[in-house]
Order: sequence, then structure tokens, then C-alpha cells
Amino acid sequence: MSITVLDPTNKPIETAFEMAPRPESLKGLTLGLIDNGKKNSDYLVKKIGDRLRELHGLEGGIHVRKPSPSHAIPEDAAKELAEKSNLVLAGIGD
Amino acid sequence: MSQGLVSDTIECEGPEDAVETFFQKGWTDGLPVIPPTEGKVLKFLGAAGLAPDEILGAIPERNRIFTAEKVAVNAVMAGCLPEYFPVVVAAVRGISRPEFGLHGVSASTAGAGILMVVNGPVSKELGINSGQNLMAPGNRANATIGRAVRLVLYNLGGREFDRSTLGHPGKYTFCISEQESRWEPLHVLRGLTKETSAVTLFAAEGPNQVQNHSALKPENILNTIADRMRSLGSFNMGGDVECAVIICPEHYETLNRAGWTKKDVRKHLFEKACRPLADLKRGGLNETPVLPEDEKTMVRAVSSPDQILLIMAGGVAGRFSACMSGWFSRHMSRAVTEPIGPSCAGGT
Repeated sequence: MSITVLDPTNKPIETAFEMAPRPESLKGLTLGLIDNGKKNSDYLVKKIGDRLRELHGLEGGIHVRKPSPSHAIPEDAAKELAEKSNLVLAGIGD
Repeated sequence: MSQGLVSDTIECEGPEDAVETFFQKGWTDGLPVIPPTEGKVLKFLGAAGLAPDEILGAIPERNRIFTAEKVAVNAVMAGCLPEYFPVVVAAVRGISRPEFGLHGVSASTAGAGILMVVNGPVSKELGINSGQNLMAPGNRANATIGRAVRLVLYNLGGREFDRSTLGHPGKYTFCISEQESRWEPLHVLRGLTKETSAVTLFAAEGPNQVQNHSALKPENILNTIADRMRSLGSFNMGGDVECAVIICPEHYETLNRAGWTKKDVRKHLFEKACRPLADLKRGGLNETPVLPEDEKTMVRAVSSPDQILLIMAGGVAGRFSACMSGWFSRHMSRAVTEPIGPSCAGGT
């Protein structure tokens, strides 16, 4: 005898967003760095930032440290990054 | 789909085909499931007094929500009875609170399980085991309530996020109840009334059994437990986390007879579960050189007695207690206690 069963899964809620325009050159732009707070992540993102500045002529930089790797970046930190930087580097794992 | 359910449906040739279909689609925990039919799901929703579209929780970092309908589908699959569903609902609400940090808990390489401790009248009403074989197979309520939460995490939270290096068997199911005793129950210590039914959720490593069949003095029983709590390889030494401690009935009898309360026990464990910083360095947890003052600098397993979740449970025979370290850092995940019941809201 056939039975009808229900799909137990769902999908992420899709939210519309627009990608920021891609810069043609990195020269003179300000880099934002998100350090997720894990061990050595501050060291790693700083090194990556230094290397990007050295290779591509980026200037200055904003370094934001998340209070917790498993929570989203605080809103005020996100605003600061949006206001003061031209591109942002995120995504540090184990 | 009628009755307000919105889930996609699948036609199967019969129950066996449905079970196999769910395996093939990757919708199980590796064990067979009960096929979730509309009738069963509606009974579950009715038992908790919930509309299908009520949102019970979410993982905002993943844009994932847990609706009552989808949680009920997974609870049916886990083998729950309808009357268990309010406990599952409370658990899903609890783990969705920001302080529980569900995204990290359910993704981390550390592979925490979600320990569920049920207190209050519902424990007896549903027959949730608080005795012999406490954390082992054999009791439907314990097995299926804990399993339902894991299926929710996999099917609704996104199983692809789980990057556990090892995981542990408690990730299949990890639900227990605390025994009634002269000690204050866990949920009362956490701010609820004794008459309230509640579930405490704690992201935990696997259980570390602690045997002491020798000690007749309370201090000595607790010193043995404290020794396990300060294990170098646990987050209790490598971080700042809570610790769950289960005191078995025989150990409890010795402690209670000597007049020790939960407060006394937690204070003693807090004071004894520590070791010199030099130990951490010699043991390789900290690779900086050992300094003379490191012998006197004490590192504690927990930062205060309140960080110990003390539970009395287990079989009447045997002097085996247990401790379980929390996950990573209490700044990222803390135990939460959620009242059980359709009309209850707001936990501690």
C-alpha cells in the first residue's frame, strides 16, 4: 500500500542583496580585516593584510575582532567597515 | 497539502520504501526513521498546541528557521510519541537562544553533543529515564527526544555545516532526566519553580565516567571527580567553559547523609578542580617555558561554582559519577534552561 510522506528538510531563507562593485585596481584603497577571534587569527589576518598592501598598494586598514567566532559580526562593527573601507577580507577557519 | 502543512510530499510504495528513500536522500542519522505522514505530524502539532507555521527557533548565521511543522516532521521520524513533542519544542526553542550559540555548537570541529536534562513533573509523566543505564540505549523517551533534536539540526539546520573531527555517540541522542532527591533540582537552581517542567540544554563533550568505590568521605568522592574535571585535554583546562557533573545515587547517598548540599558540592568541586599553570606547560597545552611562579598560579576548570551543572541521576548500584566539559568558551555558548509546555515562554 502506497503512503505519502513529508519532506523533513528546509532551505535557507533567501534574502536579496547586491554585490558591491568590483574595484578595477586595489591601489590606494582601504582594506578591512575581520578577525573572527580564534587563536592566531589576529596574527594571520594581519599578515595577509600586510602582504596585500605590499603587493597591491592598498593603504591603511581597519581591523575588526569579532567577540565570538560563531556569531555574526556586531552591527556597529559592520557599519564601521562599510563606512571606512573599500574592500573587506573575511573567513578564517581552523 | 491540507491542514496548513506546506512541506513537499513524496509518494512511496510503502513504509519500507519510505525508510529506504529517506536513507538515499540523506535525511536520517544513519538509522531507520518512522515515515512522517500528514496524520502523524498533525497529531504532534496538536499535542503541543502549535500552528504549523509557528517559528520555534532559527540559526540566523545560516538564514535557517525551525517551523513547528518541520520540527514535528523530524520528531515523528525520530520515533517520538506525540506527548513527547512539547519537550522537543522546548529544546528547539532553547538551543535557538543567542547565548547557546547554536551555529558554532553545531558546526565546530570539537563535535559537541547537546545534552538535554529534563526536570519537573513531565519527567515522570513521559517516563524519561533518570536511573539505571542513564545515558545508554533502552528507553524510548530518552532515545527519541534527543534524536529528534539531532534530526532537526541535520535536516533543518544544514548537516553540511557539521565539521566535527570525531564527534561522540551523544550526538545520536543525549537526553536524560534528573532524579528527585533532597537536593534542589537543576531547573530550580537555574531560577524556575519546582512545579515547572523544564529542559536544560548544554553543548557537551562525551561523558567521562568517574569511579570511586573506596571513599566514604564526601571530600574524597569529590576530589576524584575534580581530578577528572581538570583533565588537560578538555575545554575546562583549555578554555573558559561550564561543566556538567552527574552524581550517581550511591555517591549522592554518602554526600547527602553527611549533610552536603548541591551548593557545598559545587563549592568543593570548584576549589579542587584546578592545577598549576606549570602542569599545563609540562603537559604541552602551553608551549612557553615553565617559570617558577607557574607552580603557584592555579588554572581552574570552571570560573565559579555556578558554572557547574550538578545533576543527581543514574542506577542505584555502583559508585560511578561523570563529568562533561562544555564547548569551547562560555562566551560563545552557555547552558540554557527552557520551560516545557505550549503556554510557557522565557527561560533562564
